[in-house]
Amino acid sequence: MNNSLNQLVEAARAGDQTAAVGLIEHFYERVYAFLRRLASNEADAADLTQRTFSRVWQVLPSFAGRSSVASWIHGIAYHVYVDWRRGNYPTESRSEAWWSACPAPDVQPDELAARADLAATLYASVEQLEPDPRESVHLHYYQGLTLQETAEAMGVAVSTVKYRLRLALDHLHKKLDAAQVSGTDCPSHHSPH
Amino acid sequence: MSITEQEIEDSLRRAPAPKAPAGLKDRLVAQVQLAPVCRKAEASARALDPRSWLGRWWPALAPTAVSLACAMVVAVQQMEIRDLKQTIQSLSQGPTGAAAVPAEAAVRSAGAGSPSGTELREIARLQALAQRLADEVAQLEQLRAENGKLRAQIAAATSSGLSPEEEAVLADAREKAAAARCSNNLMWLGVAVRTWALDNNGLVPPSILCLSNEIGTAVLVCPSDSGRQAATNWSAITSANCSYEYLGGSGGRSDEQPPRVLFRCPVHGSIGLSDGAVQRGVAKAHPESLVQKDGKLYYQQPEAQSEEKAPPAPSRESNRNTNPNPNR
Repeated sequence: MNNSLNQLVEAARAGDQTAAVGLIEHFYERVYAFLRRLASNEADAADLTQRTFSRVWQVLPSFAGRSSVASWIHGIAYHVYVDWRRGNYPTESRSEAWWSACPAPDVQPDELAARADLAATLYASVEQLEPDPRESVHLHYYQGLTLQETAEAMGVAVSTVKYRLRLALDHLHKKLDAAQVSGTDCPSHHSPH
Repeated sequence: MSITEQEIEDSLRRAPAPKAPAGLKDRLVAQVQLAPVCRKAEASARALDPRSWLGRWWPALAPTAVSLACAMVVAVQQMEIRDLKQTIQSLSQGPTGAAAVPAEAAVRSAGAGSPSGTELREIARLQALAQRLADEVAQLEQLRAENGKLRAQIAAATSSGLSPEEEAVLADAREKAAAARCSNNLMWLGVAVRTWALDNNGLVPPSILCLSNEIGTAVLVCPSDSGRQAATNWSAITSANCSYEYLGGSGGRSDEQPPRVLFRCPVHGSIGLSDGAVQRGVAKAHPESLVQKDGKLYYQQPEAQSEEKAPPAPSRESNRNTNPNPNR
């Protein structure tokens, strides 16, 4: 996979339009999903995705291959998002209803029924994290990057990523425990009248 | 039942992915703008670009160039120093070496073949001549040094006008004249005391300042006492204007026998007695002649000397028939 991606990048650097389209097909959905989870609406996410790939074509000649293609493109997307966030574009937290409306494709229906509420609470809790731990969770868990790739994309050390993920998991664990306790004490919580 | 951390991580990894809107891919494909760059050409251009090459290597090249320049400068200086040393060494060899050089040159000019007997004799004669000239030059240098020394001695002699022996005799005469003048001062002081005693029932004055009507201030300073100067008048007299010690402050009469010591010169050791006599150098040469009685100092002439009538050191001088007041 990595070799084929590197070959696509090399071809695109040489001016191969087909290779560039291949890179778009491979990454645009992941990049859009990453930015959509972070941005407030679809239009902003689409705009950020276009900015990301525009930036990719600009810096493609300087890509030295020291990192994986995935971490490189995710790093560009991450920095495009950070720049956009700094431009006074407030992000709104994804609600549990929003997460419930986005069913995971690889989850079985029975599991979905059992865990729907808990997962929605979990994803909503992720959005309440501080920016650095939250974006680490997005890159590492949601986007499936390794710790090394996450660190390269964010421009920090691997140990920093581990520390941020540890903070995030501890926070999420407490949140979910609190949610379970409140659900046990109040059975009518998930069955509104 | 509490949820585990592994379950949380699994849930996060299974997070739903929002679907990209339709048409996004087309827009992304439409905005692709690739700048075709030939990597090999770029690499070769980078390698050949002097700016990039210099930019990469200048931190190492600059100190190296400076070090090489310094090394070259040091090497050139060493060569020049060596040439100068050789020049100085050849010059310091003197005329002998200079004479040897033409001799060697003559030998070399004679050719690679064996020189004839005439040439060898000529070379030997020239070497002997050069040696003789060198000896003459050395003698001339020695004569010049002696001449300079004599000139220096003549110049030193003419600056003072007298030879050292003459200077010593003159200094001795000056010292004797000063001692004589000192004795004369003591004599006039004794006369002044006796004059004051005539007006005061034969008593000696309690202080030397009482003699202001009898004598001038010039006789209060010994000629050999360069540290003191004569006062202009008696009202301005201090210890800096009087060389002699006055020993009559304890009172008494001027006609006591044996004669009492009233004045003493600390420079020459001469003493002035109450009867007007002066003993030159007694205080230094014969201190045993001075006897202390009742707080007064008396002079006792040694009996042996008085019997033989030939006192070697002290000389008694009378003042009975001299002018009592030279300053008036």
